[in-house]
Amino acid sequence: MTDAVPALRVEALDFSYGQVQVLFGIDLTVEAGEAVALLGTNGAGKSTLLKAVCGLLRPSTGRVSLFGEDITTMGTDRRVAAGLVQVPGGRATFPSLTVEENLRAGAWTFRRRRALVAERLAEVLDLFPELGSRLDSVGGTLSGGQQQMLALGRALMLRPRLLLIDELSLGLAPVVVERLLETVRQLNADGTTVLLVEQSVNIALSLATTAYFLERGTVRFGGPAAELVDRDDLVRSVFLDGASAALGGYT
Amino acid sequence: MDLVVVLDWPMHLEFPVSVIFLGAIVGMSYGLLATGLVLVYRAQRIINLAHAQLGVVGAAVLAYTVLQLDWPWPVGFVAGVVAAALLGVVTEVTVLRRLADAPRVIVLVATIGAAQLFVFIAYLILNRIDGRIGGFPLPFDDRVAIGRYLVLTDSHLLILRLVPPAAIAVGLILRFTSFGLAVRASAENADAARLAGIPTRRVAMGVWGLAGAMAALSAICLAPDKGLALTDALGPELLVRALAAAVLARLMFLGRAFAAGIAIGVVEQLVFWNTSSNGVVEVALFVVILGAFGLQARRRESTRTEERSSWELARLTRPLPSRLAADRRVRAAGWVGAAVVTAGAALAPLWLSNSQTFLMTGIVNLAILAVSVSLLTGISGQISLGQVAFLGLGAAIAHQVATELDLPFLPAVAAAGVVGAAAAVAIGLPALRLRGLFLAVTTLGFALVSQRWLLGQDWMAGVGAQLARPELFGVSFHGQHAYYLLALTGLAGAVLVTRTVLGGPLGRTMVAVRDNEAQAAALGVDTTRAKLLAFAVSGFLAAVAGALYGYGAEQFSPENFPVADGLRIVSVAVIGGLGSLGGTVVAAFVVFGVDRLVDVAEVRLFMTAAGLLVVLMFLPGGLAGPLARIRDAAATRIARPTPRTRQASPPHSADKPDQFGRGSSAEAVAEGSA
Repeated sequence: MTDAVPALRVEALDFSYGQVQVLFGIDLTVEAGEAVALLGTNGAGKSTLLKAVCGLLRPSTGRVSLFGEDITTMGTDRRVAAGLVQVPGGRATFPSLTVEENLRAGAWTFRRRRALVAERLAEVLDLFPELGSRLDSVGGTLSGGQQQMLALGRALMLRPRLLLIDELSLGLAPVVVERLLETVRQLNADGTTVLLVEQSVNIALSLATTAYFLERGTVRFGGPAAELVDRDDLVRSVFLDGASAALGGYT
Repeated sequence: MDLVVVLDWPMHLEFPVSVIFLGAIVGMSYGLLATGLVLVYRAQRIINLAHAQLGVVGAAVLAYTVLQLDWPWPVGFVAGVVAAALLGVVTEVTVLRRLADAPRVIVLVATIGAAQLFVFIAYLILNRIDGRIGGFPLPFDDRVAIGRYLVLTDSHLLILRLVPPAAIAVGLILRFTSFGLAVRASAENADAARLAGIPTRRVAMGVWGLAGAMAALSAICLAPDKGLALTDALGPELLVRALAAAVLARLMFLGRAFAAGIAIGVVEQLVFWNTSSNGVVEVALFVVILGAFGLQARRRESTRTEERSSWELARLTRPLPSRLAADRRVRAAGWVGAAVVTAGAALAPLWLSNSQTFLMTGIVNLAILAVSVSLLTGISGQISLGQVAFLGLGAAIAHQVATELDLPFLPAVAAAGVVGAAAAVAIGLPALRLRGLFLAVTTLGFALVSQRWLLGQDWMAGVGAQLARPELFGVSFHGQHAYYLLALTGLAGAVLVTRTVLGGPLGRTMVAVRDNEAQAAALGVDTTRAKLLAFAVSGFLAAVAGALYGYGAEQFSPENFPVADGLRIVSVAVIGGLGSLGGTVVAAFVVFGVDRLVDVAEVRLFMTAAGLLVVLMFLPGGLAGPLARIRDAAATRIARPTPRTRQASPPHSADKPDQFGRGSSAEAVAEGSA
């Protein structure tokens, strides 16, 4: 641990959908330059936490700060401009916009600096050449893997300081996942802080040095990723709960 | 010279080619309106029923600045367009933003309220012009003859000069600017757009500004034909044409909407040229709308479900807690309360003049109509903007049965109800595929068909119909007070019928289908039957209200059933609280009471429009919410155990749930009329 300001600090965050509280006193810190995994079962509140961090949802109490700056009440677009960028879950491209328009949408915050937009566009296409060959195709016609690349590419147009990724691997072939993971790993190595939400413990731990484990809206574990692997009680709940349910409760 | 085209198939048509040109020009103004509707729909999934009226404010500003302030036309034009754009932005920020998470039906009704408010604003502006004899100001006074038969007037030339450049400009803005990119991205996936750093709220403001400017342009182009009676002129006919064009473009494609508007203009002119009755145009448009929806429903059944899924309804009011509802004293108090209210309503004419009693009778009938909407929309989840059509149908059928078959009052009312139910089922058939906003469009189209064509037929109401008030069981209902009591009995009957339906298995089925159609179907509910029965019951009630209306009015014509009333009735049901019978009846009396009994036009217009918006923004559940709180407080007081009852009976005895498992959602909807 260094004394440097953490990239992201979430303190005592509560969130409710109407009457139903889903997040309870979440504390979470992502140090600058780190890769952190946020794990948990279905419905644990991982995506909700990401949305609250991005400002898509307003927490009922608590504090969110980005590189030391309090952003709790900041609008999403200003958080994005400040370097907090999320790759939303479920291949959230703009399906009827072309690939190029999708990427340009990511450059909205600096749209008037045309040279910079062109430069970033070239960088992203360099990273994902298969997008370059389909610039004029409509987003919805891409394969699942290409759509995830497009979503990631759109986020990278902003050259984020803190990149949040919601379920990178969902529904993708292992080869594609490995390819995307490699990209994220490289970004992290180049200095981008990464917070990765995953259901797959293997994927998350192959990337992250620190891990948080969320269960029913509370943080059950937060610490070095290596220690989480030893916490059978937690990891099993991810791996085995599903399995036991599938077996009809023969545990 | 002019070429005359003669067609024999599919029908005999004879017209000069220049008519097509004329139709295309008129159609451009429809196309521009439709483009504005599509723009707002794409950005926010709102069918903006206030679109044309937003433009009317701009046209009024133009008229005021040019006629009163003597500004040059182009300056006044810019002022009008800018004013409408600003008003659009203000509407977005003050009204729609607050309703961002509200059910779509609430937002739809909010646009009805906004439309009324815009009409009010335009009315105030136009009233400030001295000497309003002259027509709407025009920048030039040209006339061009085309062909041998037609002359393009100055307003046509205005359309020709203003609309195509504007349409092209809008297309270019959306296609090539970063604002356009932001609009398209936000429309596709608002969350993803925000995560890309696009300030979606500012984009929405921009969309409304652009839509306001486009609406002003449309209104300014259409205004010269209407003179300064602008506020009445751009009514439902225009809305239905613009909506038809918009749905032909699947509410998605701006260019296609513009082209469809032109096509509708051409069809309209061809029909005008070949028939004398303009109602045929409305029929043709209705068929076009149904056809377009039929094709779409097949094509993208699964791809765009948001229209359906976002069509959840206003939150229903809580039922009385079962512990209280089961208390004998509370029940007795409920009956006493209902009796007091009924007696008060029955005796009200003693303090009213004869003409006021006559108006009250009309309000009672409209309350029945509002109950039918509350049932259909609140309970069954099907929206109808054209319920007024069944009112007219009921009156016309009663007239036919009474005059042609020479049958007395009760059979005539019953026949009207049966025909109304059948007609509602026919209109409901498309609803098996469509829900939500699309159904709103078809029912609105039907209301226009009904007023402009169907009711005017000789076998309906014709140009005017008479009905003599009845004598029943030896009692004459010719007097105003007597007939008022008869209508009130009808309202009580309607409320009881609806309550009974809702409390039973059919009501539960309807609620289940509304809340989760797939789940209900998976549980073996016949969703088709549930939906059509909802239409049938609601059509029956509406037509009975119509028959009562016809007998009460003694003479009526299709003009008594204006399309705007169909929109008004939906507002009443929403103000009352969808699904709450008590709230709906109260709202009907308040809204129509203000409308009919307040003499000053300014007060009336302002109260109906602003009142609706205020209720929507601050009481999203309608009047039913506060009414339910009053009821709960009263029930709690009444049921408070006295020392004696506490000893006599253990308190939990009233706690036992009854055999129907009270507290089910079916009960939630049955409340409110106590």
